[in-house]
Amino acid sequence: MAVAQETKPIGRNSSLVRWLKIVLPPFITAVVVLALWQFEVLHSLLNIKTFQLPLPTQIIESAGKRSRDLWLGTNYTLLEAVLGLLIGSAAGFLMALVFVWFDFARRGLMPIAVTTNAIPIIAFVPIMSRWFGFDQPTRIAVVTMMTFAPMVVSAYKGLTSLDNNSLDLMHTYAANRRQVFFKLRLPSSLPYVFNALKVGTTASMIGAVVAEFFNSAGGIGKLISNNIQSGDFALAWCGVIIVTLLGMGLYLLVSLAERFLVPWDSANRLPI
Amino acid sequence: MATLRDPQPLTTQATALSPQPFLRWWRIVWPPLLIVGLIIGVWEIISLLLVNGLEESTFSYRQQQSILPAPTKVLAAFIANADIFLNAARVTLVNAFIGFAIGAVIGYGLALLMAQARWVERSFYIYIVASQMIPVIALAPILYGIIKEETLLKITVAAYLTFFPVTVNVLKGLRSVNPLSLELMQTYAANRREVYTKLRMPTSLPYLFNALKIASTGSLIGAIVAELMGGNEGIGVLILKLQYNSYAASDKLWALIIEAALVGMIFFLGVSILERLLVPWQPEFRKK
Repeated sequence: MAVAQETKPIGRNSSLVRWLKIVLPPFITAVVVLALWQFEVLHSLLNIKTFQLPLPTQIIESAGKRSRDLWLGTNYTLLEAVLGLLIGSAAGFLMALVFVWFDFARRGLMPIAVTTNAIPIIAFVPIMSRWFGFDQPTRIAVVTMMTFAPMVVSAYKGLTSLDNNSLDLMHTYAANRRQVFFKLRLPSSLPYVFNALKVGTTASMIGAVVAEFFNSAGGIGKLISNNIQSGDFALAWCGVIIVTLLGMGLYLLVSLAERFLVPWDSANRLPI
Repeated sequence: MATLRDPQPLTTQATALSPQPFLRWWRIVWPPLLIVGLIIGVWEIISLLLVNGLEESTFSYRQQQSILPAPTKVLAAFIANADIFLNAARVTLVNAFIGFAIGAVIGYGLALLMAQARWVERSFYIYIVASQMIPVIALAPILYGIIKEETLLKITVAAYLTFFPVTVNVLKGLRSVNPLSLELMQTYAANRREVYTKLRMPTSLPYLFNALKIASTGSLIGAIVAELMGGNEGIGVLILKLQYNSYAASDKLWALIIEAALVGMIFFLGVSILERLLVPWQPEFRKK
């Protein structure tokens, strides 16, 4: 802290200090929590046994032993999540475009799309598995349903919340509808689209995993629930950690894409 | 948002002055109702075509019906088992709501705490964001290993899923006060507590309700998934039972799933109505 109060040193040095100030507190928290966990302080606080909450070292050991199962499950689940997210988001965006062009469709379908957000889609897994079987297509359909409605709502909001001054300017330049669409509407919808996508990344991973809790042919979710039932908690924790990392990875990927495609809207970003 | 775009706002304003709230309400409601009606009609026709010419109570009839049971059959199944279904919905909704309330209080408290000092926020915020990445519901089976009590587990998972959106949104809300209002408070020599109770907390309310709307669905999903992990009653338990009872019970399964959807909508609607009552000053609620 004292370093920061010095008169502004060379640029590189001050950015290092700033970076440290951001990175250090969460890092210390992580080390403290991990230490409490490893040395079984957490266990005595929560009154649980190590077989219920395995130690970090045990989890790592278990991951080493069963790396092949984890790898197969990861591929299986990641494909479901990514495909579902892509299909659901693309369909949602198209639906939002339809709403912009046909107001009647919006009046009829928008309330339904908003309501879909309130539905626990997970409950639909049994129906989906009757339609699409016990393999990946079921999970893809579920993730598609989960990511579709948020994208419709977000993208519609983005496509319609235009800056009035920009619209006036386009009129002054006698821009036609197509030009207004491609040069104004589409770009100004992108921040909203990316917001929905970012929410969708974690939702899709979680959705795919939870949908695998119902009878599934494979995947991390199946691995988690099976190993809970057979009492191998360390392996189940591996599954949870993998899903967390994958969710974060997808989120970062989308954030990076946003940084390149929407460089003008970086103000509202989460500190990641 | 679109005020200058076209003359349309003027006309809608004119209708707003007309003393016919029912007519206005009806104009909003009839298009989605029409579409829902159409969907149910098409669904009925398709499901009738699926079982076309098959004898009822034969295996192939049930097999066909399990793909898409007719809405009338689903409704009949719901009425026939109404007491079981309604009881399951009550159990799930009550547990989800208790967890929701606890999570909301904890989430708001955390946001207030993090608003006090930057270092607190720096130490915890990134983990709270990261906890969004953690498939909390995937933790449900692990939590079940730790918390053996069914009701407590449901409430815990529902609370966990609620606290995150509440913390993040409320923190944003507490921070996004109008600088002019803040200066005014300082001019009046308002102390820290007054700034919070009179300015920051009211400002955070719309953000809080946004989070609560997200969390209403989240807590319900949490409760259902916790029930899947092993419980004795609730929507999740019934879904599992009916799922294994494959071809025979498809109409019941559909009835249950539609009930789950309706419960989600009711929860969401309840939060929205509460928002309208408690935070009526938001622009989107103004008469158009």
